[in-house]
Amino acid sequence: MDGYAGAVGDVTQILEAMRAGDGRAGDELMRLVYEELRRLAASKMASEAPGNTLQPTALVHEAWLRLGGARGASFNSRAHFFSCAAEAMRRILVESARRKKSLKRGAGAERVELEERHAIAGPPADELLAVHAALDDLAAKDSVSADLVKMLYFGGLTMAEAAAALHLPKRTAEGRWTHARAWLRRQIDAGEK
Amino acid sequence: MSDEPTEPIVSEREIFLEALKHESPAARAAYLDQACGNRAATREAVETLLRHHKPDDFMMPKGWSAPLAPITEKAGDQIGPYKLLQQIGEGGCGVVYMAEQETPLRRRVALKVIKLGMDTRQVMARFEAERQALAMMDHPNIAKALDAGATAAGRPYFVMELVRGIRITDYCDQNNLSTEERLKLFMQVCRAIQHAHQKGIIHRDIKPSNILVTMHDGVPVPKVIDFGIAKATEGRLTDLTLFTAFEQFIGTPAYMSPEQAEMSGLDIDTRSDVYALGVLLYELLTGKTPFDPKELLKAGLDEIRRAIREVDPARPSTRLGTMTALDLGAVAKRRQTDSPKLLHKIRGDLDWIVMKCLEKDRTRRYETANGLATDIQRHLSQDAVSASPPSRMYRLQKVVRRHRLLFATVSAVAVALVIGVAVSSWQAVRATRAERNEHAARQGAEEARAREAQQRGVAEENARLARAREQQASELAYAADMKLASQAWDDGNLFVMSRLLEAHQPRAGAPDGRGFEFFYLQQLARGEQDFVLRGHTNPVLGVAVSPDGKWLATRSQTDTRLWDLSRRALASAWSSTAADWPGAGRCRPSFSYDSQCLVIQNAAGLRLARIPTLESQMIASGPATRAVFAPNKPQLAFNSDMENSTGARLHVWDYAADKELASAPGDEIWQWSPDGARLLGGQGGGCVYWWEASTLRCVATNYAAQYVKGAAVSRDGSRMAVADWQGEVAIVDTASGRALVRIDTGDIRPSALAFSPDGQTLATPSKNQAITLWNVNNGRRLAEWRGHRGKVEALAYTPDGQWLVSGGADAEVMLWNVARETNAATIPNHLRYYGAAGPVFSPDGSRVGLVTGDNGHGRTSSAFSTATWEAEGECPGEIAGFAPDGRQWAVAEQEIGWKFAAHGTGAATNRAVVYLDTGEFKTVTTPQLSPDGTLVACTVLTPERQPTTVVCDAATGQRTLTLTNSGMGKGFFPKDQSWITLNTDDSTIRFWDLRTGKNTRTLKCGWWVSEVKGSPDGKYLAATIARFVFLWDLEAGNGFRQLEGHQDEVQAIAFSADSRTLASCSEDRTVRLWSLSTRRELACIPQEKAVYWLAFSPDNQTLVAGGIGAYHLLRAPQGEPAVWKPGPMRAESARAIWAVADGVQPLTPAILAHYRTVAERGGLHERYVLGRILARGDGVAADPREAELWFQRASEAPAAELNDFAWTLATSSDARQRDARRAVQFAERAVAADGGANNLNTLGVARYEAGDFRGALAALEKCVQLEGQGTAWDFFFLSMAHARLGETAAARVQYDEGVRWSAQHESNNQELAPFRREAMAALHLAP
Repeated sequence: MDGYAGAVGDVTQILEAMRAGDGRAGDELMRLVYEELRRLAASKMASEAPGNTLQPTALVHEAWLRLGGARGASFNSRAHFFSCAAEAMRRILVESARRKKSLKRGAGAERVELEERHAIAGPPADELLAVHAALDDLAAKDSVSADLVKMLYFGGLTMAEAAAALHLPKRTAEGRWTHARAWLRRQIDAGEK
Repeated sequence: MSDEPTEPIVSEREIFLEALKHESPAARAAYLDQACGNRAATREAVETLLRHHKPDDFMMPKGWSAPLAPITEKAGDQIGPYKLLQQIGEGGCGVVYMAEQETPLRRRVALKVIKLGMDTRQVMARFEAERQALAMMDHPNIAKALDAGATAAGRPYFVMELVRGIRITDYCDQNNLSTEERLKLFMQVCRAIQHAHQKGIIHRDIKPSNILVTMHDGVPVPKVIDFGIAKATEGRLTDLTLFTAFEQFIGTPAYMSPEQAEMSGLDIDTRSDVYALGVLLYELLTGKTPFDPKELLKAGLDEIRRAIREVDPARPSTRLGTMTALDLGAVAKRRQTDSPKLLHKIRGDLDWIVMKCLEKDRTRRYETANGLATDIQRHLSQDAVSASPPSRMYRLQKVVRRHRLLFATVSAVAVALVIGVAVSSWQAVRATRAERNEHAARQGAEEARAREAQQRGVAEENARLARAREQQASELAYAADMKLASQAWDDGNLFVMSRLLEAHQPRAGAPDGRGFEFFYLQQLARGEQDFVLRGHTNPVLGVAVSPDGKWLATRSQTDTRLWDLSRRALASAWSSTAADWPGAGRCRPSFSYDSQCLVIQNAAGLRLARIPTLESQMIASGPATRAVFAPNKPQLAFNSDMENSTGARLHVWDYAADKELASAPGDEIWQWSPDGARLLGGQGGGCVYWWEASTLRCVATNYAAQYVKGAAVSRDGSRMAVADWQGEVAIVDTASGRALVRIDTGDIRPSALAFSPDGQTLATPSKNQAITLWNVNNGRRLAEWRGHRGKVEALAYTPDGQWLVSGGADAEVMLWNVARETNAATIPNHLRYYGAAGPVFSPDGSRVGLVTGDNGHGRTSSAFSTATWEAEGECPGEIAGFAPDGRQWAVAEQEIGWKFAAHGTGAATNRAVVYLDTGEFKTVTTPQLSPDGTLVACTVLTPERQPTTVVCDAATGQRTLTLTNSGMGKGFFPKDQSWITLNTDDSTIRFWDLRTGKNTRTLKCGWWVSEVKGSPDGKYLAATIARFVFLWDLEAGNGFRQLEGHQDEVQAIAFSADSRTLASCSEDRTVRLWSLSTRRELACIPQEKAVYWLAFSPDNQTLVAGGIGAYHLLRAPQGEPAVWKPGPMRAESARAIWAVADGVQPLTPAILAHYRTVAERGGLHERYVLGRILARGDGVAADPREAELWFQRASEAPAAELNDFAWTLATSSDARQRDARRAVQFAERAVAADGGANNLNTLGVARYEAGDFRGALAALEKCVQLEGQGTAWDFFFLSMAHARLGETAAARVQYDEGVRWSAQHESNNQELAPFRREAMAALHLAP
């Protein structure tokens, strides 16, 4: 493993650059984390027996370790990373959900077989795409709550981890989550009408 | 104040959350009245929110990860016809109950409820599929599988015969069973597993907890339980699939075979059980499993898989040897013995039996559990076992086996020439039965297609197919030979490598099939040496450098040469007679302390030659085998009469005074102590001695080693190195005789050892023909040098330590600069992770652009001239492409959107900046310049996160096209400038015409594709998915093929300029080359680090492979003459070898003498060849008696080897190789050792070929009987034998049987076809 971590370089350096106010470092991190998660998921998929599913939470945590985050990363860096990873995971899950839906619309048996190997344990596709769409509206009004949803819902973080990442007391985070759920559902319902 | 609202204005969220605390509608309404006051909109909003707050599973994760409900079944519950009586066990995967079955019969059973969540219906379906086979198992050591079903809660359960016992390992330890008792118990387990295998059932989960021992009338009976469960649950009880279930598989990964660890899920067979049996045997013998499960788990999931797949475990005896004395004592005690006895018992046979089970390559394991049991039985009855330490030939053979079909079909396959000078080793080509069947299964689909074609029966088509097949055969032969050559390089066998390459030098009139890999390997095959001194015509057996560093002396069997080292020129040469003097092989040159004298030995005696006058002085007459000068005085020590029956004598001679100082009986001397007071020596078969030089009294025997093959003393005398016959070198403290470090050189019988002058490095021969340098303090390998094309026989350092001189069996003397740079062909980079653009060559190949710098905020790129590999310019940004003439290069830089800067190659200042019009969108990929330099394409993400392609004019940056939701851009297709995208929404790869915006082609692919590349000729498209490469033949359009070989994530791919070769690189630290036409792996090139970027130069002579830290240039210069011309001796020997087959070339006594040495050291092949030479006696007097002796010694080889060899001798398509009589002799020996069907078949075939038709019938019939069924290999030969005996009816029956068998099993087997034709001819059937 050390060979790998050495090769990938230290994600914490980018995180530090980001903290120092370098805006581009954020994009860099996003790109890196997204690629890493996809690659990670791909290599897991290839080695899993068909029909198995992956847990987003496991992916995100393994990505953190693989990107060298375990080695003396500051607390803030960790928070940044998980926020970023949640966004990346969101993209992956949305891709996965779109794909599932397009498959349902009629794909050959061969394709289904190919695709079945690539399932991620995630929310139902319809719900996920709806939440994905509504989340941008929430972000416009309340970016902290939106980040929280991203981490919990897409990134698979626990409440304690997400709260810590956002510097919120756990109780407050729980309140925000309760509110955000109701808010998103209201938004989705309104959109459907 | 009271009028003012007392609360602060609270947000909608806070009101909502507060309102939730009021549970009754009235309280809630009251609260809202108070909180919202007259803000109606807020109130409305909060009320809708409250309506949308429901405690259901919206957005709640429990719906998706399916957490497992605890097992609720308990004693007393009824499950189907079973009543649970009590819980008798619980494991990670399930709970086992004793249960009572009431109908149809009353009995007690064991019922196992599976814990892990899985699709019960599928589990049931898989169990049903095996139910019949399971029911057929009837064996006293197998617990019967009775039933399976689903509990009310929907969990699968299995019912099996109730076994009241304890784990086999616990039983053995609790009862202190001796090793023999353990083996006997274990053999019963093997027989049980064999029984299951014969019924077609693989257990898949053999481990101690599945083998329980019960007592029957005081006799322990092992019972294997849980048959059918692993299959039904798809091994998920044992696999490492669920991250959350991490702790649940403790204890099982230790028993998992490498192919199970692969987790492909497809490819498990009986040999996986043999592996697990090996692990069990390991544990029974040593108390430990080969891999410590706790250590494994600590390392993480991927590491577990890697370790099981790649790491060779310690032999059982080695493992015992590394335990503390206390632990070992305890282990021994539990086996009713003591530590030394236990070690002694395990070492040898049992080690090899266990290790044979644990082979990573399952074709090298026991084929059956019975085979394993039989070997143990042989061990117990003290017969020779079939397991043996791995041989040198193994790796080569492994490849040959893999390509055996091809070796059989293609006659123009280079013969592998292996040992010493030149001994042919005809590769056995026949597959064993098991392998045949496996092979047949794999090729099922292709055969079906082939059958279809046959039925069409169009003659034209057949002719075309034949041509295509011929072409394919030659491509396959080429691919196999390149792989062999690459393997030979890894093995350090440049001789074989050179021969393989020579076979593919283009011939007049034939197409040139060579690609990048050929020239790359040819470049390697030149060797890594700095200088070669040529002139010797026989193996160089000794080298010495004078203490003043001016002179080099080299010695072969036939001559001694003196070289001026500074000029590397020959100064003088003396010849010696060779063949009639057996001691010649041991002679080494030696210089006197003042560099004034050189000792020359030959059959006539021992002489001193003065340097530089070359005057000579006779010291002793008669043969002397060793002569060594004292390091500080005019004295010479030498041996005489080594081969004399009276034994060797040792002499010390003062050559200044010309008198003998001392003489005594003694063994071979090797070296003086640095102070000149003592002599180091020893005896081939025994110990290391010191003699006092003045008296020749033996003063110390402080280090004992078995079969010492060589020794050296460091210059300061503090340490010596002693090599034994197994290739182990001990670094010994001279004073105490204690071994400080042990080095496994990998060489068999290393005789040449050399300490560097500073005493820190030891040079030894290693693997085949390479030289290895070792750090003597810790035994670590420092470097490995390849250059000789024969075994390295002699090594010496120059006194300044700057050069190492080597002499080899290839008759060459090589000089190696010790301070050599390891790899000059690199370009450093400062990248810190992989996400950067790969290397880009200019279309004319004159330049390459590389991303070289990275400061965390942005990257810098440099352009390099490919003529000098020097940087011509550097600038910020990532390389995006070159203008067609290579004079301008473009980099892309992310500033505000993307900036696109074109540079003159000479100066970074000459830049024209173009801002790409990507609108408001954010780019996510580096823009790429189209091959014609007119367009730039990049991918952006729209706010909806739809990847979209934006195309801009390269000159102005103006947007010309937007392809919404095109997928992520992956680059240009080289043939027609199509833009390739990967659409993850519908899993397609799409081609786009960027002028019109039309989607011109769509290919289905998996979702997880990372990289996509097209071949320059437009014929192929390749994509990477995890550790695989998928390859589409776009012209044939028949879907994709999977290239499998990398052990980890493939990071990049590149097509060679000639579209013949695909390169791939991976985090497994290899670059692999693949043949596009055959899809075979051509070469595997190990790298020090993970490789992330690849690109071929347009002239196809360079492959750039980049990792973090550096880009490596893999060079493949073309068009140079053959790298190696055989020296005179080699040519002579090669001819002589072929004279055996051709009967044209006479042999010389000198060559014959050398062959004897080779055959002595070699195995079956070498001895057979010598026997054949002597039997015919080309050019020398034939000696049938000696020939018979060598044939006899050849037949001492292991049964499997004899069998393979006999098959080749009996059936080789090259008539010159055939020797049916000898084939019968070898096959009979093989059958005597192992009467298995395969060996019997060979015997039958050999007898048939030798004309013994009755004998053939007997062997073949026995073979068919033994297996209960025959194969076409039996039937066709039965048919022919009957036919030759005039029994036409019987012949016809057997022929039909053979045809039927072939149609069912091996319809397209190229190996079988000639036999079928032969049988048809014997029956006079028209083809």
